[in-house]
Order: sequence, then structure tokens, then C-alpha cells
Amino acid sequence: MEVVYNNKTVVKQPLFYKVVYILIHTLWTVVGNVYDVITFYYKKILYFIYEYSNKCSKNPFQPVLRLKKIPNHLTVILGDEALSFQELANVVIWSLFTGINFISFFDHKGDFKQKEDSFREVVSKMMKDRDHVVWYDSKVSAYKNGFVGRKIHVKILTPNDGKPLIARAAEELVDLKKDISIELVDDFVKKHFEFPDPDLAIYCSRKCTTWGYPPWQLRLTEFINLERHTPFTQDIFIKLLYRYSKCEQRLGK
Amino acid sequence: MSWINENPLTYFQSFCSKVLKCGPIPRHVAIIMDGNRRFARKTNVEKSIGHSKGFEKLADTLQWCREIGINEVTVYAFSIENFKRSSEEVETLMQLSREKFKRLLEEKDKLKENGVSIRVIGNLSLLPDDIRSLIAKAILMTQNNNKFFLNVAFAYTSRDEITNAIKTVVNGVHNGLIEKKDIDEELLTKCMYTSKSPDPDLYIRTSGEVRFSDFLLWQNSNSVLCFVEVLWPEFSFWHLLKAVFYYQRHYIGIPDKMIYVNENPRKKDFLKFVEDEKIAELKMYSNIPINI
Repeated sequence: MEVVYNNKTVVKQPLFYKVVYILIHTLWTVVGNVYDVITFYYKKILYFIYEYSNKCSKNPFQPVLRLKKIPNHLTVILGDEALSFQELANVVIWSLFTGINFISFFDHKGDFKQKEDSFREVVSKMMKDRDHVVWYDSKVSAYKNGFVGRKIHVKILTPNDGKPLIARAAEELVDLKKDISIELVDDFVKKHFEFPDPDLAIYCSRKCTTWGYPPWQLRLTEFINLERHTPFTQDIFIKLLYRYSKCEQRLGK
Repeated sequence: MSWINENPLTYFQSFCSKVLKCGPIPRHVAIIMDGNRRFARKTNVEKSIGHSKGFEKLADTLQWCREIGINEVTVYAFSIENFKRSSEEVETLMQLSREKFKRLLEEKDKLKENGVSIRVIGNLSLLPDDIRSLIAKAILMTQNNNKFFLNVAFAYTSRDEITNAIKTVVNGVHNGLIEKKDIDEELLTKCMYTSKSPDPDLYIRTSGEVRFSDFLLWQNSNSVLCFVEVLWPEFSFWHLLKAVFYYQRHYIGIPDKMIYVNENPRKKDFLKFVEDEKIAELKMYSNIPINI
């Protein structure tokens, strides 16, 4: 017999199996939580040591600059766990330091987009004089050139940049009366999305899902999980870049 | 090697699968079967043996899925990008597929008995005539089976699929079947190769790679993603069970799949038309005489 449970089909099993099932899941939850608490404190201690040793070294990003591969476009998928503005602003600044050109944040609920102004303030307070952040807005197309210092492009994405954008592409192509090819669609998507396809996606949730991230762009993006029960520190960011630089892409060959 | 495997599970395997079945089981699982060539290199055998091993594993996995209660599986068998491999390797893969699809046609009764329906998603126009014909025959032969669905992505990429869906709706407008304002996410979704399948609940990639490689980008928005470290020929019952367990730990809180309601009759008629066209095309392909 089948019952529907949370929209999923569940086959009714004898009680004995049910008991074992509940036991295993409960045990997993308990062990998982204990593990989280231990790693939380462990990481905290490591962090303090790291902070201390950091005061001695001038630029912790120095070794990163020597990596073979740095993402051109880093995207952060916010998921269901909120990161503070401070943490996200840090990511922008660290990306600037490491030579990442484009950074985007995807929030499936769209809340972050509404708070963009206050986020901009937080970031601008952390900037150094010669550095520039170019903000992209759906209303104003920002193309600024001629800066002297380091530069990073930032964009906040919403679900509207995903499938609805492709639907708009289809509408526009109706009038174009051209032969429709992958390249043509890609040109259209690029024009509206403004950013190149992301090379690295960091997802900030235990749950690994894209939360409806713009699909067209995710063709070759590498996914790396950010363990969210620990503070998002500089060394974690550096570790992510190290992991990324080891990913090899064969492009179907 | 057959498509339908009937090796029974061991007592312990069957016990564990019964336990997991007390919880939610993904209805549809998508798998990127990656790592056949690395497996061949690792074990010092020919690439073609790696690919055959990969197929055997697929047959095993389908059986395990049926035992666990998963009733739809979509696998990435051959990407359009794979045509870029050496012509020798492409030919080997085509030859393997030829054999397997022929075998599939021979297993008609077994497939019917188990209610297995095979669908091939992808750009069939890129394939050699004889394989295309075999595929069309297989789809038409099993289209009324409804207990288990196997979707094989062959000559597939997601961008090609999305572009094809756009083409379909644009042609629909040009031919006066729908209006421009009818074009939306829903209509495109229903024009994808996967229009008959619900979106996958669980999306597995083997071999430790952590990207989608142009597979089901449109459909995996609300899937639980599971990256497995093992190479595909080494994938075992326990890896599958672990992935299902992982799904049970993580599916809560992921937004539910889009369910589209409020269809207008114009769209409905158009989609019916698109569906009929597809069947007509398959019939045409299957009628091309080939030497088996």
C-alpha cells in the first residue's frame, strides 16, 4: 500500500523496519549534531591561532596569486542559511584581493536584492582608496572603464535572471526570424546576464541544490560546499580557491 | 549483457532497502555515469572494456532502483560534446550502443513483463541512421509500459535541449498555433525532451567531479545534488543506498517542484500538436529499412 507523505510516495512497511528506520535517522541526527559542535569549537580555536599568525604575515593572499587557475566569475548561492552582510562583504573584498573579476550572489527568495543598498554601504566602507567595485543593476547597465586600481564587478541575482530570462529570449527570437542556434541563444543570455558563466559556485547550505539558479549558465560550473556551521573566514576562502584550482575539465573529450 | 537484470539482492541488502523504504524514496533519479575511461586506465584495460563495464553497471543499477522503489531513472549516456573524442572511440561507443539497442529490441517480452518504458532524450538527428532507427523502434515498442521509466540521454546536452524548446515555441508562433504572449517558463518546460517526466528528485554524479556538464540544467533546479567519489564501474548497491539516505536527510526545505496549472486551450492544443509531431517523427525514423 502506498501513502503520500510530504508530497513523496512512501510504501508502507512492517513496523519492525519502521523502528529501525527511525533509529538510524535519529542516531544520525544525534551524531551529526555532536560532530557539528565539536568542529565548531575546533575551528574556532584554529581561527584564533590563524588570526594570531596572520598578524605576522603581511599578505595571506600571496600564495593564492600563484595558483594556476583562479575563477574569473565566482558565484555564491545563498540557500536557506543566512550569511551576514559582513561575511558577504568580506567575500567581495577577498575576491578583489585574489584577482577574481566577477562575483555574483544568488538568493532564491529575492530578499537580498531588496537590501542591496545597505550591502553596498557595508562593502564601500571596507574598500581601499584605489580599489573599485562596479555594481550591476538590472535597470542601469554599468560599464565603467579607466580605473587605475583593482576592480571587481558585483551583481545580485534573483530567480528572474533564470528561466524567465530564457522565456524572454524566446519571445525576442520570434521577431528576429533567424535560424535559432545555441550560439544565438547564448548571445542573448550573455547580453542580459552581463556576466560570463560562473566558474565556481559556492553553496552555503547543508543541502546541495541550486535553488533555481539560472540554468543556462551552470553548464561547466564547479560546485563547492561551504560548511555553514563555522565562521566563513579568510582561510576557508583560500582553501576553496585551492580546491578549485585542482579541478580538471575535459570538455567532453 | 541484458538490460533487465534479475539477480536477487542479498539478504542484508534487501533488509537495508526495506528499512530505507519506510521513508521518502525519490521518484526520479538522474545519474551522470562518469569515470568509465578512468576506470579502464586504472585497471589497465582497453577503453572499450571500461565502457562495457559501465553498461553492465547501468543494468545493475536499474535493478537496484526497482528494488528500492525508484520508478524513473535518467542517465547521461552520450553527450553531444563526446563527438569531439577520437573517431575511433566514438565509433566504439556507437558500436556498443548499436549492440545494446538491438539487444533491447530482442528483449521485448521481458521489458513488457517488467513494465519498463525506454525513452531516449537528445538530438537524434546527429546520430547515424541505423542507430536512430533502432532507438525510434525501442521507444515506440515500449511506450505503453508504465511501471518503470528509463530515459537515456544520447547525443544530448542541456543547452541543445533548451535551444530546441525555444525553436519549437518560436515555430509555433510563426505558424499561428500560439501567440507570442503565450511564451513562458511553463510552455518551454513542456517543450523539453523530458516533457513526460517529473523533474528529478535526486541527481547523482559519480567520479568525484562536481559539475553538471550540460546535463538536465533546466530540470535539476529543485533536485538534491549528490556528488559521489567513486568511478561509475565501481558504483555499488551501497553507493546508491547512501545516495537515497542522503536524499532523505536533505530533501526537506528544498522548494517543491513547479506544478503548472491554468493551461489555456491554445497552449494545450499546441502541446498536443508538438507531441503528435514527435511520434510521427519517430515512426518515420523507425520505418527506414536497415540491415540488422
